[in-house]
Amino acid sequence: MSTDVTTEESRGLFIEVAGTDLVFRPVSIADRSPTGRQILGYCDVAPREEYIVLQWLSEGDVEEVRSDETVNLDGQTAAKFIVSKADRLYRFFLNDRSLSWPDRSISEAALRILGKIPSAELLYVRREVESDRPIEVGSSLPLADLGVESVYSRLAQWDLNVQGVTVKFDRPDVLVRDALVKAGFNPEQGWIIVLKTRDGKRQVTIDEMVDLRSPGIEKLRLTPREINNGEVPQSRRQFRLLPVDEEGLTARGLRWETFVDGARRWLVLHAMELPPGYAVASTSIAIEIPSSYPTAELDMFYCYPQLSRQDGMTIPQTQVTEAIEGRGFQRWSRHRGAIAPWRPGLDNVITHLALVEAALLREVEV
Amino acid sequence: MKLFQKLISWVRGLFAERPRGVEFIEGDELPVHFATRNLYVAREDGELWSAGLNCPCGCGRRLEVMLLDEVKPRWDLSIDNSGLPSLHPSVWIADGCRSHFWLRHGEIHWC
Ligand SMILES: [Zn+2]
Repeated sequence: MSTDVTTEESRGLFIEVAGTDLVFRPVSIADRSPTGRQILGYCDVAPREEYIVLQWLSEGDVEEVRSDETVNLDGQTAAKFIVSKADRLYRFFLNDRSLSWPDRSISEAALRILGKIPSAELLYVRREVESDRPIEVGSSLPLADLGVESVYSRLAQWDLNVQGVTVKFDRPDVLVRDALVKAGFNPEQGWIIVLKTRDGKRQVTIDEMVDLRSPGIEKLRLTPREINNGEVPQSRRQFRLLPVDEEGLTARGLRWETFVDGARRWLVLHAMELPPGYAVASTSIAIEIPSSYPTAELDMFYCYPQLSRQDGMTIPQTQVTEAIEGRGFQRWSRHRGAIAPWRPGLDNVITHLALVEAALLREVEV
Repeated sequence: MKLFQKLISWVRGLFAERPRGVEFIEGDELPVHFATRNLYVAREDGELWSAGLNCPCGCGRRLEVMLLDEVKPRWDLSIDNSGLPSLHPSVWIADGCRSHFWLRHGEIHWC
């Protein structure tokens, strides 16, 4: 019989009520103009004087409804209320709407709900002196520490200074290579790249990812990688040559290394001086060492940097480029042929080198 | 080429070339152009970032080497009582003029 207070007019009338979690549930009401006290009654909370009623207005503001204050529910949609135990309210701004909140802090998730802010946008707290502070996903904003906080949202955007050029990204994980391209630097040129942050610095490679979310990222600083520091790097010896080869190369004072790239075995001789007539003074020379060497013959050789004649004349049979550890070596198709066939047991790297030197000299001989 | 550089160095030596001094630049970068033949050093909050000079061979190239601890390759800079800079180890340009030299007490020693 007690339900008889429901009039015809108010039948089926309800409001939506949530706590600070903003999970709304419908609550039936008997009256289109309830007071704050009546709303607490509909919500069945006690003691009522310890609770606060807030109305979340359709424009986005959140306002207190005092116990003797009347709310007019003429709207088409159900009115939304936040009911929470609280002894005071904290005021703040969210995208220029004024909100009251019954707790000392508000979660980032609640801010997004109240501001209808999509996940593509980031939340920031306005600051006067320092730069505006982002509100991280999953964190909460204290409301009791400072004065009235002002929160705003904007599309996610990350800035990075690349050697004095500021580039903007719409995602926080950035490949160093992409950052260089976006800033107008040629990533293939060869750079010493230093990632400078508030806390320090570290060298990064062109293929590294930088997380712009980490605080204090300032800058990618570039220096051309064109100067060696005169310290000869340790030469690699990934496979052995014949003793006569190793002794011969060392006796000639050559800097050489052996390594495997893919399935192919390479001997590379560094800083080989060239006879006059080439555009460069020296080159690296690569010789492929077949796995069945010295039974199998050594054939051809490869130059990096690629050689050209000073007079611009083309060098025959050098048009093919071979990638060795990512460097484009110029293949010199010079074969032993019938005149000087490979003699297993007699020929080796040193005798092949004589052919290499002869081939290099032949192209620039007057 | 090397012989030519040594020759130039020797000829210049005859005219008793003035040693190179040091100019500190506040910040983590060096200027795009070096106005003098001095060694320019980028220094930020007391930390040395890099050193630069115009290539001593006269090719006009701007050279820059890193001084930061965290970076490879890197060089050590020392400055003697007369304010003259030395770089360790040698400076060796990988392409172009391929200059290879030491800077010791403000003077270029060709390799
Ligand atoms: Zn030069």
